[in-house]
Amino acid sequence: MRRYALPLIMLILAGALQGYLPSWMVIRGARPDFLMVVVIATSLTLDPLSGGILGFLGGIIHGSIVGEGVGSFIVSRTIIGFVAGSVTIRFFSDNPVVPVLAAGVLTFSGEALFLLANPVADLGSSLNVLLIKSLYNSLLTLIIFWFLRWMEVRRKIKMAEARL
Amino acid sequence: MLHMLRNGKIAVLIALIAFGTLTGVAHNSTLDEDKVFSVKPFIPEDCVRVVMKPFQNTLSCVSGVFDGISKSLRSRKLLQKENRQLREEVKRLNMEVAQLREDAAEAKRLRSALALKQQSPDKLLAVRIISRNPSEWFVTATIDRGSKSGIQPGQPVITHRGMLGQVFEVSPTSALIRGINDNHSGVGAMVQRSRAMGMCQGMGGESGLLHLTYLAKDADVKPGDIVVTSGQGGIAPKGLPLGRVVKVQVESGGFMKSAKVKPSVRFESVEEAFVVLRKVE
Repeated sequence: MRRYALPLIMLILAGALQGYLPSWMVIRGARPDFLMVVVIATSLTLDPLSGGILGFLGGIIHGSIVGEGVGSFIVSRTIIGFVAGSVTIRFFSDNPVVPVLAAGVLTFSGEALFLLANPVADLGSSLNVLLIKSLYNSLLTLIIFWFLRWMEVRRKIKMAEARL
Repeated sequence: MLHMLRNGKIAVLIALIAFGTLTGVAHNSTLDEDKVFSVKPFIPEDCVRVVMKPFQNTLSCVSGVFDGISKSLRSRKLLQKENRQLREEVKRLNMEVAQLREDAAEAKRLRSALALKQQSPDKLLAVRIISRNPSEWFVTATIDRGSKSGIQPGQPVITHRGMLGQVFEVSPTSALIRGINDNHSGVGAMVQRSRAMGMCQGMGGESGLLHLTYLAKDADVKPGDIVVTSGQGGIAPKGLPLGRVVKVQVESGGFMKSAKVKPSVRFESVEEAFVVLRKVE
């Protein structure tokens, strides 16, 4: 249970932070999606089911604070969480390329899925925003992923010490 | 002693003592006579002074240099200390200036808001925006009042600059508003100068522009025209500024005109607003 406490707290904090983004963080209309970053980074350290559950919770939080497209948020984030959890089974390594690539690809495909259900008027500029957002999320995911890995390693060391 | 006497050393000694005594007596006598008179220097004294002067000058210069160095060292320390204090003072004053500017801007905003509240025939409820734009695809924000304060979905949200949006979801202590430039927004509008009627829809995205549609083919609209709410549709009160026309175009088919409108209120920078507490059907 304690394993899920930190991701949950991070999700709530990310949700609160998402509505207070300073204007300098918005680059050509794209803003980092903290909730999605937490979902991806955390799911990369979990199994597919846990990733899916976390994505579901992240979707509910994001949908609630936006107030629109709640269903689309839930579906897209749940899929993102599940796929991110599956990445750990197939490709897992401590190589930083994995979380960076996973975050970029998952953000792009997840948001594209979201836009299918919520079409926008200006597709060209939306695509631009999507690309910048994917890059943004990739970088942020790397930071959070490393932080979570560090926490996990510390936890395992403590457990090993306790056994000894 | 005799030996010394023979050498004349004692004589020299006595002569020197005598000379000194005489010099002293002479000097004292010149001082004692009358202080009003200028003292005439005794010749040996004068000689000594002449001889001593260059040495004194040199010493004075050297001591002046050392004095200068020590003073400059002292003053450097003092200057450094003073500099530090002044820098801290500048920092404090800068913060104070920033705070005062912030207060002045807030006072200006609140004065305008108060004027709007006093002029408006409707009951207005002042609200603060506590979170905004959590997603690129929607223009929404959360306000700090909800159904407990009488807010209902559909009520318009305005500022002293014009219409900001509309309430679309309400909880007891907070509510969500949708900006007029959101994809799903639409409000009855008219061109203030020519009274040409149309509908203003949000375009969403990065541009943040509004789309004034359903204008008659011969409607008199040109860039720079001010667009206001028409009051039709019962959403917003009549005459609230929506924005300024930036581009006019004829719709494909040539039956209607449309225009791009730059909103008068920048959704991203609004901190306080009013909800018009009118009953919404």
